[in-house]
Amino acid sequence: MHTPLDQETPQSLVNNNYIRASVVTGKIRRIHTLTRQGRIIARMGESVPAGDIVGNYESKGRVVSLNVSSLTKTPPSKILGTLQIAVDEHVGPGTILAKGPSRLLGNPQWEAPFAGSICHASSLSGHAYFRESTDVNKLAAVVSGEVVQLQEGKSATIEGYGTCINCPIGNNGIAIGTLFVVPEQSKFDPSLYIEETPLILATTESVTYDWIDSLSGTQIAAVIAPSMPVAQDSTHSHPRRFITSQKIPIVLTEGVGTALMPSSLQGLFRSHEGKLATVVASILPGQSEVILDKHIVHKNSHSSYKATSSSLLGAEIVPRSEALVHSRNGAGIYTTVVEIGTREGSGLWINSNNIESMPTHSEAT
Amino acid sequence: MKNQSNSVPTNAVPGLITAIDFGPQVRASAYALINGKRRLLGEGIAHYTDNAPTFDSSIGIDNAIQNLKFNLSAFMGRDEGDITAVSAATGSRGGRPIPALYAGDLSHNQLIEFESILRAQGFVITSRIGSLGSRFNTKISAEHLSDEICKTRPNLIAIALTKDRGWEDLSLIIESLRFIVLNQCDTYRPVIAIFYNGNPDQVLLNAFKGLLEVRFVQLFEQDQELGSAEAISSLNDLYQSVSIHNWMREDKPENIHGAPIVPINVSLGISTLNLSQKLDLSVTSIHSDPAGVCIACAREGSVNTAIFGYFFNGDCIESVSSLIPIDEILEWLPLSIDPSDALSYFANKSARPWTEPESNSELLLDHASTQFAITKASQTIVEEDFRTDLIVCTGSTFTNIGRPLQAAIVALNGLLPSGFSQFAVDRSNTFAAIGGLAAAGYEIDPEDNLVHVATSLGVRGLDKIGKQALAVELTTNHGERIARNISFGSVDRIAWPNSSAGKIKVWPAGRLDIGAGRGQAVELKPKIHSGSGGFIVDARGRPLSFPKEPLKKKAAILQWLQGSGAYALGSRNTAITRE
Repeated sequence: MHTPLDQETPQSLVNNNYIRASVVTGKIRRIHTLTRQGRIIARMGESVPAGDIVGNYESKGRVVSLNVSSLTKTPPSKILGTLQIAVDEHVGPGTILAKGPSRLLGNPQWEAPFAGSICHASSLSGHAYFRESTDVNKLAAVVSGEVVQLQEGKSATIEGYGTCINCPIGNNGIAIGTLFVVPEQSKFDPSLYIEETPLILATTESVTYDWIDSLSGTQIAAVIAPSMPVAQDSTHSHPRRFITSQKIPIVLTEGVGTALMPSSLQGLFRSHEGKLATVVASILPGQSEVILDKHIVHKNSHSSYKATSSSLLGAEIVPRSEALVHSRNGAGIYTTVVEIGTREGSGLWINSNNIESMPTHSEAT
Repeated sequence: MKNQSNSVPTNAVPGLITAIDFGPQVRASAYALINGKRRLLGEGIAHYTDNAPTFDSSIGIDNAIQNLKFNLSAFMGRDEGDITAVSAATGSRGGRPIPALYAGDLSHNQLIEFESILRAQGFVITSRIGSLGSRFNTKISAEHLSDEICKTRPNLIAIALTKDRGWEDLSLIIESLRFIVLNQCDTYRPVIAIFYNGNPDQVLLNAFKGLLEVRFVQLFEQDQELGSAEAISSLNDLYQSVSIHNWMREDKPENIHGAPIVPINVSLGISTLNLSQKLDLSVTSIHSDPAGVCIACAREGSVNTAIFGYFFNGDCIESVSSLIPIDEILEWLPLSIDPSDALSYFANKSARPWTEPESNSELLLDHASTQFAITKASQTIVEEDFRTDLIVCTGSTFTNIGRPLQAAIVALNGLLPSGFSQFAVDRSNTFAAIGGLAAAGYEIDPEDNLVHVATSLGVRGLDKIGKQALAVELTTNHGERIARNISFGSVDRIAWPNSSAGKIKVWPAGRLDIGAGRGQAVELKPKIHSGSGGFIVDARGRPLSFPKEPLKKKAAILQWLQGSGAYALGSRNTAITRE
């Protein structure tokens, strides 16, 4: 038996708090954080286009340490004087870094295992740390806008405008490029694309690992797909990783499985085709997104809805009524449900928690 | 037309307070003094918004408060002002336990006490490294130390030093962190707290401060008792700041600015202890939602808490199922479900933890993973012969449930209590929030929102499967007499009208114990109410033993679930008939 929640329930599903919005449009504020020691180069109030460098940081490099105090038989407070090179001095592999006192069976010494420099010599523990020389990584702005907050050596916050699409699952980092919608993957040949600007592909069908693999080494910077089958090796990893390590960033708009992309979302991507977009693909749930730079969906656009779980995953649905009702669902859970219509004309009840809203019509400004 | 007497101006509602439960959804609950007792007025629910696409937690909190106001408008009147400021915030997301690493020179007993102090402030020690001061520097290399830290990536590194020795070792830890760990682990930013005794060398302290953000905390009171007020206050500050960083990114949202964030294990522990003391019973409560399970066991004035899930290697997880082998979950299902379908379901649940199961098989998957999580969480605090008078089921897994009896069955299978236990479900999902409010100084009776579901009897001991294990006789107030013989290895349920209490007598077989000793009959003195679940007789024995053959194992699980009557398991849906 379905019972109305309340006669005064707001008449728009999207305006009450029961339906989650998967797309937001308008002002976007993003914090850009250095993942390692580095420098923020953006300035407060500066206008930054998406893709511009706001900071840089050291790449991962090997670090080895040695108890120099023990090697040289000197107290920790005096180890600086026993080092053969200065702190931060760049040296090649094989360079002697510290020497111990002579012994009958040879002179104990510490050699640089790779090119690098001593980054720290501690007068407290007596240890010295030798770090490999690495490249500098660049931190790019994911949204065009103004720098509104800075934390020296840590982060820069940029505020701009655009449309942001939540992607429940993703992996492999951040990419910025020109958006291109691919309706049929089998007919798409990435080698034909030779422009300098990287492409971000938005596919409307579920993608396979093989297809993603075939894109490596091309100008494809990232893939936006509705779904992907579950990774075969996810059974034995803890915690399970649902998208295994691919070489390019990938985000799923619907989830794991074989769901197609809802037509409203396809329309949203098509309306931004050829323009700048950012893909933020994080393995952490809820952190992945696609930002359509400087793209605004008009406020008077209608909302459409998609199913976000079970066999209906990714299906665009049309509520028969704007009212939410309390009822038991297919699992017997007493919850808030929405009646939706099927193509055959019959009705179906779906949990309001298993629906997300998105704009139907969009126009870039 | 509304009754005028119900239209109470907001500011006229006596003793109105609000709590936020920041879990798979944001729940705002309001309480007011009614007939001299603070009671639940209503709730508002909204989706959390600290992730994509908004990345702003205040929107979700505000939506929940708006929804609460809307729901209360019938009682309070539509045009009244704001409800009061939020008094406490808790929940499995906002009040998530924080993993910690311990290094120090505490003795075994001191370490147990230290862990308890940390736990009471929301930190859970998940890893330990060697004892400082005992040639640590020569035994452990910086690389080994870094590998250990990188493996678990704890949010808090708690270093406790009771002696003057160990400061050089401390330096090694901090240098390893700064020069090796932070170089290897992206986005890893631990908080370091150094708990010391006596007067540390100021030169050393200043040197540490230059290396990383480090907090120094006096560990001992003057009377040499572990856990000074300063240490507790500092840990509480740390918890607040780490939680805000994890969930609110920048500053604490304005709408909960004055509210303390109470860790879920603390709020659950307080409610459980209060309930235990009020009823003079041993009480175990289970808070379960997709991210994890927290258990609190209270008896004789003290409470122990344990968790499973919430994080793995310093990263927050959204589905506890990702930590449980899928084969183990599927073994517990009487249905044939393809492993890749189950993995897809859990993957999508992990991505959207607020979604609800739509079919019986999805419900069973959820319940099987919850049951495993309960077992894993309970292993540290539940003894082999676990007995408890009352089990409270709370959290979204139990409140968004098809039938309350299912909550009792999941809890029964997860904890496997011996003897008689009552099960209650917190249908309003406010048990933890009430504990959070109690931590903030507002007393609310945690019993108020509990609904009695069932009573269970767990049999201790082992016997031959199929042999008669128990004779049960239940006599209701109306004089109806229900008698059952239960075979060993099975589960059965006796239901009778809820309007009548029942008197229970049980005769176990010679090898089995139901609380009075092997083969000793028990007549339960208090009469029990049926609730919606009745009396569950669990004659599977303790410890639980499964048939070795896969088909027999499936058959046994099917019998257990069918015998409990908790699920609609038609024979067409089961794996047994298919095979």
